[in-house]
Amino acid sequence: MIAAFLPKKDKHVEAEINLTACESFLYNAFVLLFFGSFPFFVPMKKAILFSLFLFGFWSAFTQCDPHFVPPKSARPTSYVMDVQYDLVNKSVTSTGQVIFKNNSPVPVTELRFYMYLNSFKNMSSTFMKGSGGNIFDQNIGSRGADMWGWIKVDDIAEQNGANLTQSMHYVQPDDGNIDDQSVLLVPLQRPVQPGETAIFDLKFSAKLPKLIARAGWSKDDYSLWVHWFPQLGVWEQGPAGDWRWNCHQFFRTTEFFGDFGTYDVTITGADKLVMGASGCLMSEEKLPNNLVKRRYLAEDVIDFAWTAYPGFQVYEDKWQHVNIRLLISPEHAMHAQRFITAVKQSLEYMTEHVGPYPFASITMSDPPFHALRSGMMEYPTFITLGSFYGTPLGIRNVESLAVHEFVHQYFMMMLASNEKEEAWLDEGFVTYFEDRIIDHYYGEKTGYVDFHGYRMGNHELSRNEYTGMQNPKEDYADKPGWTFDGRHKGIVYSKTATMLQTLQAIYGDAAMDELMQTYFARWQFKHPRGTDFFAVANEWAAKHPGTAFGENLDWLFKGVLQGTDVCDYAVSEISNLENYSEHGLFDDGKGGFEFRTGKPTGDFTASTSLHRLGELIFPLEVEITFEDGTVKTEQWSGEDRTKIFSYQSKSKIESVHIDPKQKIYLDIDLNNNSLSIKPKDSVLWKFTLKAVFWMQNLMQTVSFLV
Amino acid sequence: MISTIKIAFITGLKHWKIVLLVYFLQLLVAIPLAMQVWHVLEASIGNSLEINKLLPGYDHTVISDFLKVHGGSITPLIGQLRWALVVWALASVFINGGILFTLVKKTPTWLAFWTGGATYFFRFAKLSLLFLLLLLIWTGVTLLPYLAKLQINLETMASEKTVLGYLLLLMICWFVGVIYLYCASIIAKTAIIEQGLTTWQALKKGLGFTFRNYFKLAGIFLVFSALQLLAVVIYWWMEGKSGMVTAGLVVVFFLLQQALVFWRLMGRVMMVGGVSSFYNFNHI
Repeated sequence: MIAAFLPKKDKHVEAEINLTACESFLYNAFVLLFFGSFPFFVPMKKAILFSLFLFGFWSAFTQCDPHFVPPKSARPTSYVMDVQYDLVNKSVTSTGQVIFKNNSPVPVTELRFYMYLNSFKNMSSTFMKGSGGNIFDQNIGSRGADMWGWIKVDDIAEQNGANLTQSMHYVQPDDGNIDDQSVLLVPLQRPVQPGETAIFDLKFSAKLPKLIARAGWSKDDYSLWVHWFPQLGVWEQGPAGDWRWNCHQFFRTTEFFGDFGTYDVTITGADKLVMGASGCLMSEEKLPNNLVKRRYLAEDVIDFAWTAYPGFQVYEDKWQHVNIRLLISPEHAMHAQRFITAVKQSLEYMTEHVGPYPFASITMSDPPFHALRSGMMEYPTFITLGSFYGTPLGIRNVESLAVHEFVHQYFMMMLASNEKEEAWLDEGFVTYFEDRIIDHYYGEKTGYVDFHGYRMGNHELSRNEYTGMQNPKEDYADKPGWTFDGRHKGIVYSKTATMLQTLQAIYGDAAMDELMQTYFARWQFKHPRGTDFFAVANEWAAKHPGTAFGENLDWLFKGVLQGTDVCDYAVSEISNLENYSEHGLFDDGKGGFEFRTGKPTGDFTASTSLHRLGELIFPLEVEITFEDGTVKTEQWSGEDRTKIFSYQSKSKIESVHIDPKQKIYLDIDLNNNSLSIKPKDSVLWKFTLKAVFWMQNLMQTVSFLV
Repeated sequence: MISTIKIAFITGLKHWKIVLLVYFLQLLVAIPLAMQVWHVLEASIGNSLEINKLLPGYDHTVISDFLKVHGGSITPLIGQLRWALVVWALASVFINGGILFTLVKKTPTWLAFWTGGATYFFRFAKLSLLFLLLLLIWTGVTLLPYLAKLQINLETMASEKTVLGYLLLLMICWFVGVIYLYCASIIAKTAIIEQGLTTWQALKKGLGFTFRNYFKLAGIFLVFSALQLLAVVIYWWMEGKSGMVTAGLVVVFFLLQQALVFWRLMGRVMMVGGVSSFYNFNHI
């Protein structure tokens, strides 16, 4: 009976809890509640202590069920880790197992592990190299010994088999930098055969660096443990059909790529630490010497992250089946509800427009400001935020960040694309949905900022991050992260998001949802590549004929993602020439001339010139408005460099608007898409008079003290 | 102090002609500069339909596209504005001299204004430079060391709240000093007009007198500053509620803006009048 209340299929928990004691507890609790006293069925002190313990356990842990039956993914890589956290040295030692299932048709002869923390070991690592001692505005060159981080495998052995420690060595598949230790190769003495599951006993030690980026420690015992353990790369089939490890080195401009599996992680550390982690907290046990042992379990995830800080305040909430847990530094507590609301909105929106969020939990961590470099990042069922004391309600970087990182649970986590090789495939999609969610809940033109007359939608911000680049042709979106020079946000995040928004405007909201839902349904808990998305999109486009974009979107993806061209259309001229009746010399039919006096007919030869200034070609709608109120809508293939629309009309052309509904949001200058023969003087005066006012105020200010 | 404030208020109102004169001088400098905004906008996006979106309020896409493509055309305007402000600062030496002269001599006429400005221009310019130097030193002592380390403080202190708290405290300290220097400069100038002191004597007088009567003088300063601030807040609130969102409201709000500018000038004359008359009553 009691077992029914326990988390399903969790043998460890079942083993730890004495079922008789459990039953005693329930009996005691029942009697206590209804009769007001203990029945003394079990010794009083023991019963109280155990009841208190179990009550806490019950309320805290049984809510969160991390199990998936059947599994959501193929689970090729799983980990069991028993971690001892040394708070003083910000280091861990761990013993446990790595379980690798070879789902491929070929034997696996070696393992490759990410050893990210070694990127923070010295300035010769690929991550640090070329930083000149200054990385992310920090002077790394002056760091002492305790401020560097590292990770090492102390022992690795096939379970009941050979020890592999001696033969393991670091490799540098991407840049050949022999000082880089971010990838460890472990040759196997006995290959893992197709379909076989191999278990390896693994002991490792790791130390966090003083924060540089993401993983690290900061003041007052704050720490974020991400990419902190030897993690297997992804055993996958390459574009050429060969099977190999996808396990790249760690670069400053790349993020991560891991495989699905289960994580059973037990962490023993100081009991003063408030902790949060991926997955569900399954048990918590007080130990002597002010220690506590916490066990977390996460299934069908691609990574495991955790944080610990004595100063965290904890806020908990729930959305449907999802336990929302926010760890927040006290000075940011004013933002707690904003974060929680944003995540609930994201859950609601993503569930409706993309697909369900199957996990039982989402944990958020908003670090203290001195640890901001550990914030603003996504991990499976665990996201890190970042905020500043006193940020007004009208400035929604708080919500926007929470939404962005949460949406990564879909694009990066469930649709586990390769962030290293195709960053646009997660960051671009996440930015697109961040724009949609924020603008949906907070207003199209006020989503990101609505503060004392200054307004900005989230999608406007994203578009401007791309179009406002000094050179929007700077780079390709679809290329490996390590080949960027660091300034790639405008291209990878924003250009992709703006392209998706353009697609949505052309095909409509419902169709766009259909595309995303199809892509999600087909590729969730797998590793989609860009080509997989293109295939889904082309299939979808073929189902939606009749749009100007056609039934195959390769031209769009090639132009926008795999090219650097920009889109810019402009209206350059409106001309209204009045027609004259016959005027001048005409043949009189007798070999001479006849002079005829003409006069204006009242008709016009009205025309407009449009230009394609950019290289990208989009089919467009052109709206031409005449002075008598007539509106003509023309279709333009957008191919010609110059296009003239000309009319014989009773009325003059008043204005011309290319793409009046601004569907082609990729256009880098929307102001030149229209032209009117009547400028709006009131707007010009508005800004002129405002300028007068501000200059007067400036003058008054400078005359102070003189 | 209440009687001084009352006197300052009445003095300010009596000097409305001088305030009007200064207001127009300021407007004359501002309009030619601001008209360039009109021309830049007209030549760049004036004929675009997108500009219509700027009437109801701020539109980020229109503004950011404008700045990206035509930002270069407003750069010369900013350069001109910088120099205009320098020239205005110099002119202010003259204007402030004229205002103070009419206040001290209690002759709110335009003739007295021009006479005072011309007579004391060079001495007041010297004095102004000295006070500007003192302000720079004070800013350097109170704010700069902390601001220079702001980034490091944000990373090393337990909370940014503490960092902001210290910054606020320092800003208050800085402001206390600014009030002191402002009042001292008025008193020094008054002493030059009234007693014919040399620049150094006036400086010493201004600093010493203000030091001895700081709280009363600061009271006068704060009262009139508060009145100005109140007007700014009311204007801000009205703009937040409506703003220049129709052609008619463009005119209405321009008039309100000009009323605010006028009121700020009037408040300044009142403040100077108050500090100056306080000195007159108490310096012996």
